[in-house]
Amino acid sequence: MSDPWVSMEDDVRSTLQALVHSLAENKKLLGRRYSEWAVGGPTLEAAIALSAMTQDELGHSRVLYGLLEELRGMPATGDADWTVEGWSLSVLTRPFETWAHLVVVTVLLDSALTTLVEAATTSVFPPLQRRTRKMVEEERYHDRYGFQWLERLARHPQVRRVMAEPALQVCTEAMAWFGPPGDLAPLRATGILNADADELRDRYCRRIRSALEALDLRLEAVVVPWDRWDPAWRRLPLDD
Amino acid sequence: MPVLDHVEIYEVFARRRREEPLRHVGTVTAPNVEMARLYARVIYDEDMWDAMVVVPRAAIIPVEPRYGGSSWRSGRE
Repeated sequence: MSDPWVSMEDDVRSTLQALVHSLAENKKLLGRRYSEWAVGGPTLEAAIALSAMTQDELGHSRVLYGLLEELRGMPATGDADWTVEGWSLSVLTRPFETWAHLVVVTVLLDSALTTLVEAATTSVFPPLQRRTRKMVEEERYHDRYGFQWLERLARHPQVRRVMAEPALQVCTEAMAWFGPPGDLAPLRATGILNADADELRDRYCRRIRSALEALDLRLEAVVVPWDRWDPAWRRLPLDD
Repeated sequence: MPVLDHVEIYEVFARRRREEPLRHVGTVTAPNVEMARLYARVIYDEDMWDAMVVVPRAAIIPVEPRYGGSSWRSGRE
């Protein structure tokens, strides 16, 4: 049987490598952001659960770096080999101001990363496929945690208002992260993912619609400014 | 109305093997059953449990008050 990586076309290979790198970096930074609240959750139980989620995200990140090593064909000498300043999504570059911000990111961004991971669980590329199953299993609890907290906080009009603005920002970034229409098509066509950018965005929208509605927001309010999208970094630039 | 309004205490029971009885492993404080299940799984993960259940403390009915029923019902440890 031929090595699936060797037989991969160059454009597919470079697209996959960039996507996995982006996923790994975002998961690493998400883990760091979670860790900042792991000792500051509103209840001891909430803090413990968040500590476990921190460990999950950092673990996923490390596993994905391992995949990058395979893709690159040489071992890394350390994290510095992978970390690129500015690679992660803008909303992860600063600590979350409040617990409500953290909940928004769990529901609207962590879930976007998981939407992509889920699309790789049927991958014809074994090194990717075998790494994603456990991630999806662990992320089920992140989903439950985030949605439960959001539902709880959103009952309060004042908190709902606090959450609305970051929710729109996070949602916009998450939708952009999948890429513009037609993006990731080579990965979809070769079976490396079971969805392209548009399909991933649709799945993500179905996943988060009820959360947005709980915040009195509508999906239609989310407009991605594609003219500002940076394809090299798979993100929208930070607002000045 | 406070943001963190209602919480309830749940008793957590688990067993390592199917033939063993469930035993009490601890408690969690949670706003609802779904969060109680999630917290129990995360906090009491020291074993590969065959089964783990949560029971609202308020649902436990003391056979007689002198068996400590009053403290269970009031939520005190």
